[in-house]
Amino acid sequence: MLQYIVKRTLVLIPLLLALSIVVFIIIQLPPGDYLTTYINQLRSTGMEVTEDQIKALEARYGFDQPMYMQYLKWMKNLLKGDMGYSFVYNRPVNALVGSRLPATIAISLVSTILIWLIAFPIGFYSATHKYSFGDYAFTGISFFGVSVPEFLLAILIMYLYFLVTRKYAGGLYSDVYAGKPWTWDKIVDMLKHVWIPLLVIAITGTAGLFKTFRANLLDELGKPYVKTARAKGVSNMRLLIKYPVRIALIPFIATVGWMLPGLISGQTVLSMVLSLPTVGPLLITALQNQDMYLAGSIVFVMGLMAMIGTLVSDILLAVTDPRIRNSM
Amino acid sequence: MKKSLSLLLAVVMVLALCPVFASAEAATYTEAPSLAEKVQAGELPPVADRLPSNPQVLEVAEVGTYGGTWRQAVTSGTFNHAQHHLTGYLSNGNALIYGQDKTTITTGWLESYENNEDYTEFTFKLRDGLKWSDGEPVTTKDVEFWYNDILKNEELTPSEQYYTDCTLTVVDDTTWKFNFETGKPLYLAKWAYNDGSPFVYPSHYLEQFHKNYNSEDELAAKLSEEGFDDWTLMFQDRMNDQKNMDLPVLGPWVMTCDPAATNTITFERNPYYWAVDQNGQQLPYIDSAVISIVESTDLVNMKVIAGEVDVQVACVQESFSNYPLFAQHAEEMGYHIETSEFNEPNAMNFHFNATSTDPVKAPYLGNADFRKALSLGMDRATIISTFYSVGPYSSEVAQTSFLAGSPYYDEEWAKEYTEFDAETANKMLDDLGMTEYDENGFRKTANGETFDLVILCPNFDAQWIEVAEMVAHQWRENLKVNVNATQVDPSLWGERTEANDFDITNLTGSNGFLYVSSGSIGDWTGCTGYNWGTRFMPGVHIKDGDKAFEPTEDMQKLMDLGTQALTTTSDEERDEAIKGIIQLHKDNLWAIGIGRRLPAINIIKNSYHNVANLDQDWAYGFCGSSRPDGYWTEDK
Repeated sequence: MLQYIVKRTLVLIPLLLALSIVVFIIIQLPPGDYLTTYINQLRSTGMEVTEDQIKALEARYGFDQPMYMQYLKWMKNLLKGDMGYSFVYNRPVNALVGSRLPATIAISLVSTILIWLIAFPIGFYSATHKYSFGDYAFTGISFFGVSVPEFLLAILIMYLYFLVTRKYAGGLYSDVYAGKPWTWDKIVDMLKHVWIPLLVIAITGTAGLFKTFRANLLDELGKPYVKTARAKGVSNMRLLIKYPVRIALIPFIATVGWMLPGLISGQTVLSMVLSLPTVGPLLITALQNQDMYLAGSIVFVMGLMAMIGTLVSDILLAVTDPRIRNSM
Repeated sequence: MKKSLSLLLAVVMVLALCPVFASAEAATYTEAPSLAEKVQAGELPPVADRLPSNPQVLEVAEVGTYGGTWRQAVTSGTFNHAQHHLTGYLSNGNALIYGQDKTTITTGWLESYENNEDYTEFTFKLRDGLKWSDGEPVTTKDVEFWYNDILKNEELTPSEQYYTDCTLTVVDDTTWKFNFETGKPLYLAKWAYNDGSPFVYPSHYLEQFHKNYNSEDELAAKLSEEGFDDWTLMFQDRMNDQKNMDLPVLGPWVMTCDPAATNTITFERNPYYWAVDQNGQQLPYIDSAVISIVESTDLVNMKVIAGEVDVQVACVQESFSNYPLFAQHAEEMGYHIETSEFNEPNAMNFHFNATSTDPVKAPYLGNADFRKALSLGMDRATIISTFYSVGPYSSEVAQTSFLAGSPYYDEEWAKEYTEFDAETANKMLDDLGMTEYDENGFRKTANGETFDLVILCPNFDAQWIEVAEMVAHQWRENLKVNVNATQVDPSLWGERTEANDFDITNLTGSNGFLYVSSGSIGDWTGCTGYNWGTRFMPGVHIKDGDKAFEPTEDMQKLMDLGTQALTTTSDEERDEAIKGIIQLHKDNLWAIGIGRRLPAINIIKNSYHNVANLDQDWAYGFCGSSRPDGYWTEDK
């Protein structure tokens, strides 16, 4: 087991190197660079930009160097934990991402836990009460949740909230609390705002998970070992929790791998719509402006998280599933 | 009678000579309660010491009372527009200001300005006792700092642009002269126009970040402390009032938070602001300001209808389609909507590449009759009813031309070839020899080659491509000219237009020529450098010498006239040059327009007073003539 973990961890190193190269190439793929975007913006607003200025800007940002030099510079700093410099914000990437990370992780974690808390119990109920009224009701809602895009739902809920209360509910808390330390009032105020994203996530995010879990569990319930156990007189609840549920959960453990990068990107679309200060909108702005070190670094960290997540999920699978453990 | 007159004269003379009046007035300056408290506590000097000895007296329509917070909501891309209102576009935004009539130039924090007859020498005098927002005096040392250490520093200013032939002469602590080798008749307008090239910076603060004032070790220590790799990046960040809360400024409000760390940017009044109202109350009236940065325009709209913005131009101005939504909630939420005209020639301009090097297309793209035929083949009424009309408002059919409010408005130009007349248009195309049709029914060239054009549409706005597609469709249907529209990323669009590699491109913007300025002349002639105007004459300002394309004869004339209009010191000569520019545009129709832009939207809370002249023109930086320092609110 330990050997397996060490081996898997060592494989990460060349993978990371490959990842950084791929990320850098992808970020550079769109035509032009930050400067061309920036100059076009200036020009579209009637500002004049001369050739001398462009050349000087190119030199300042290092765009006059060949691509591999730009990559090496980025990589060198990355190894030191310095993710480079954002052109748009004129700030170190570390500081930008750092200031948004706590809110991002908090929202992602809370929403993930919320989704699980809702999806597993009702999935369990639906599977064990197949074709009952409750099953139909939950399945119906989940169809709604899967088919309505979350950004649309968010705008709708916000507008309905406005029509009822005549108040604006975007953001994480009211403007008066911005930059203030966390007090009881601020927490209460935040709860007044944060329920909208959570509700949206609960409706849209739960649906998929619920349906998968229900289907997995139903598959297991029909298997002979369940019948055998029942015939042997194992109590119903104990039987379900100990065997079929455990197996039905395995696909979810395998998804921990792509849950980790999700923690960093943090419900990007929803954040855009509801104006939540997460990393997601930062990444979008960076990509739109071709702010390459900012965009590259966020994508790189997300890739890194995906790798770590995959490693963790593999280990967890080995721990939970004896079939995998024994085959090692 | 005679006696009483001389008595009156004597009284007047005594009054005029009596110095008591001036000092009596000075003694009556009052200030905001929050500042008065600080003076009481000894944290601030008294108001008379903070104001210049002769502060500007702003005659406001309604004398106001202190207090309140002015709220705005913007997306991150429009933050700077909202902020210009508050801090006055960097340091010299208010050195000179356009008056409420928008034509006369008055002084802001300058006491006076003078120029000689041929506009080669400008003399500026600071208000005596003028102070930065941190209380340090503003002196000609700050102008010298700008001139020697910013303008003349090649690392910071690679191109001196407007000041290449400028020398600075400092006369005393408050007076200086700019001397130019050639006359600059439009420079006063340029300085009053907030064009982002200030000439005063707080040297006492900025010296600590400058290479010339620090040893290499000190600079390196500063760099690691501030987290920058390069001193120019650090300096440009520190000198930018949109990024640095510590930068001393001259505007009515001072930023009080680091904008990179939060989405709610806060501003507090500048205790050293240099203007008072007619009753001697120090401005601004409003205590503080907040700009909420949200992630999308939808959220700005939500904030507007929820009554959470007070006076707002940025972000809402462009979205006339939201007018019904805003109007629906206006009464209940206590705000009203004002509209104002954009200083832009058209809702959508189609620029033809008249210097195309494509052997098949060039004879047509470069032919004025071809462009005129295409203009006649457009059904503008349909385009306008689809894209440019909201409720009772509808765009007025017009070519890309000077606006009706311009002193040089030319009705004939505005209306030429705007009628939908497919018959004439087809006849004109036949006369160009395009009488053969290919197997798809589209016109071939006179030489029998297949002929197709592409409208290159930059993805600045989602609607642009829809408009382009409709126009292309009309040209295919009405004229049998095979035109298609394609949308590209702005950066690719920039590369291709610069490389002369396009047929037609569509975009909004530029200048409606409401006022004569270097910007407006430059935009219509391309003589000042690469800008909007050169979209219809690409290749004139091209990156690499070997890619340069010859301008056509008329384009060369246009540029020459532009240079003439910019540099002449004679008003008549400038008039003539501008009329020549108009004639060239009329004859050539380098750009085809659809109709005038729908007006801009401004949202104003009913409780706000003195909000006037919310000008959309870039030339006024959205704030110059509006004077936000004179706004006041009933919401305390």
